[in-house]
Amino acid sequence: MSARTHVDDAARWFLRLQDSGTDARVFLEWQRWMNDSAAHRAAYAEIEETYLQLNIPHRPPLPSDQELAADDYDGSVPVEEWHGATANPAIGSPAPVRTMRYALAAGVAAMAVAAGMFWQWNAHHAQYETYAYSTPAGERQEFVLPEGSRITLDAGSVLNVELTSERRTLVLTQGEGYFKVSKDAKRPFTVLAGNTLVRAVGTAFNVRRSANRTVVAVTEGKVEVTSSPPEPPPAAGSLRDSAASHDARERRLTIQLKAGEAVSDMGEGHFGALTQAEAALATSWLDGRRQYRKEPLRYVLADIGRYSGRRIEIADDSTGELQFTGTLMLDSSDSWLKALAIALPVTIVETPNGALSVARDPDR
Amino acid sequence: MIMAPSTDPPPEQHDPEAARQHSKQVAELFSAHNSALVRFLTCRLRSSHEAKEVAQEAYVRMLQLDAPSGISYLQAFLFKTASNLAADRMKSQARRQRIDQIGFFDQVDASPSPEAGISAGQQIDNVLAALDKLPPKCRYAFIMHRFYGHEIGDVARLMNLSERMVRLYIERALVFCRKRLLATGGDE
Repeated sequence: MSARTHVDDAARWFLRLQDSGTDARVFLEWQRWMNDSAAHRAAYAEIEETYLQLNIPHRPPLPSDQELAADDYDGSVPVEEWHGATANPAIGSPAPVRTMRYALAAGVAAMAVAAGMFWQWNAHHAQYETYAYSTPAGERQEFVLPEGSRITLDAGSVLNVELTSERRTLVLTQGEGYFKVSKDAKRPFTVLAGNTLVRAVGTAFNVRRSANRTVVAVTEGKVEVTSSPPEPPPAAGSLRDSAASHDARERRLTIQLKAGEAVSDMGEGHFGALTQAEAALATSWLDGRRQYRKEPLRYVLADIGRYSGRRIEIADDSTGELQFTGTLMLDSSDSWLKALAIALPVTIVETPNGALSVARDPDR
Repeated sequence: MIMAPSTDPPPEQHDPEAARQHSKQVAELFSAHNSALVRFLTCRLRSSHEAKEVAQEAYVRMLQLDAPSGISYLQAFLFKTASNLAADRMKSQARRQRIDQIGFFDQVDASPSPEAGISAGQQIDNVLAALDKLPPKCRYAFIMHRFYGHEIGDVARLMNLSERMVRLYIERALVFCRKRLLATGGDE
């Protein structure tokens, strides 16, 4: 482990000040550190300048799942030293003796894999396209990707798309989408939603991400769905982090789904099967309504939140577990909560911070 | 713990001499730290134009503040006030972006003017080359924070890592990119 430099400290201060919740005390400590020496101030100015220079007109490509899985860098040494250890010729300067020892400890074979991926990365650099889509509350959008796939993104959803010559990678960070995939066997089409990864070649499927659950329903063709179990909280010492993520990779579960089938993934590393009838309801929103059959209230409320744009709080677990069966028409989403309060034993009140609080009514 | 000034109405200034003294102190504070404050805000807001607006707003808030003791506290107040204002603005920015639909070129106008002697294209190549050399997880964490505007806690959840680990990755990325950009910055 190499000694921390002023620049390392400057980067740490810089990042702490970037958080929106930073306490005034932190600013005071930062100023003391800045006032300590001209070297501190110069290091900070360089980090700030670096951050400002790292600005380009589009979002840079994100590494693929495979690259992330193969990465063994744990942050314990500076990046140059890690490059030294992987003997990447692009960096040039010979690795100091202590990084060579690090290389032996970490396993030379694994590092060769990582270096090979860098080369691929560079070779295909020109063929990147990245897009970010988000829909406001209550609004749905349809669009066609340049390679021909059609996507319908439901209200209150966020989707990032990365297209390369080898793969099509989409990340649904929130909300719901219907994907009609254009056939291209050479470029697998994957959608990542929470802990759930869906792979398709030429097919159509729906992915709905709400609270801690992802539901995947297939309407045409076949998809492969992978669930990653959650990782245990990191123990002290940075090396433990990568050991834990290695274990997690081995515990992943992959299944195949065909048209008419659907599963739910609660992020616990296993799937729950939905009945055919439930699977058939998964895409009802495309026809302007949402149909539910014995759906836990928490997921219904997550959907309503996406349509209304309001924050909805659930008083307790027993409220969230109430089951709702019925149809909500998308063009009258304002009246949904009123309808829920009639259909289920719940009361809805507006909290001082503008959120809606839904609680089980003990008298009903 | 120090609390940052809020949006409360200005306290009554009973002593006109103290008020005059306070205004003078705030003016001095600004002339000494204005450029540092604007740089800090430009990093937060990704726009030098908005940074200047927020700095000005912070100045007004500081003038309304009941004079606290000690110039170093005042200085911390200034940055904390500006940080709060920036956070408010980020929230409304996020709202606007959601409505406008985030597009391919959404960050164009946020680019700072490139260093003298380097073309914009060269600058983009340098940045992409530096990012390419980051280990994948380190690169992922940094891009999600810097270019997607996610807070550290959100990046940690996306990556299924601890916040401490994500911070370390981003710090390492910054230090590495500094070296790379310093090396490539003066080529032409």
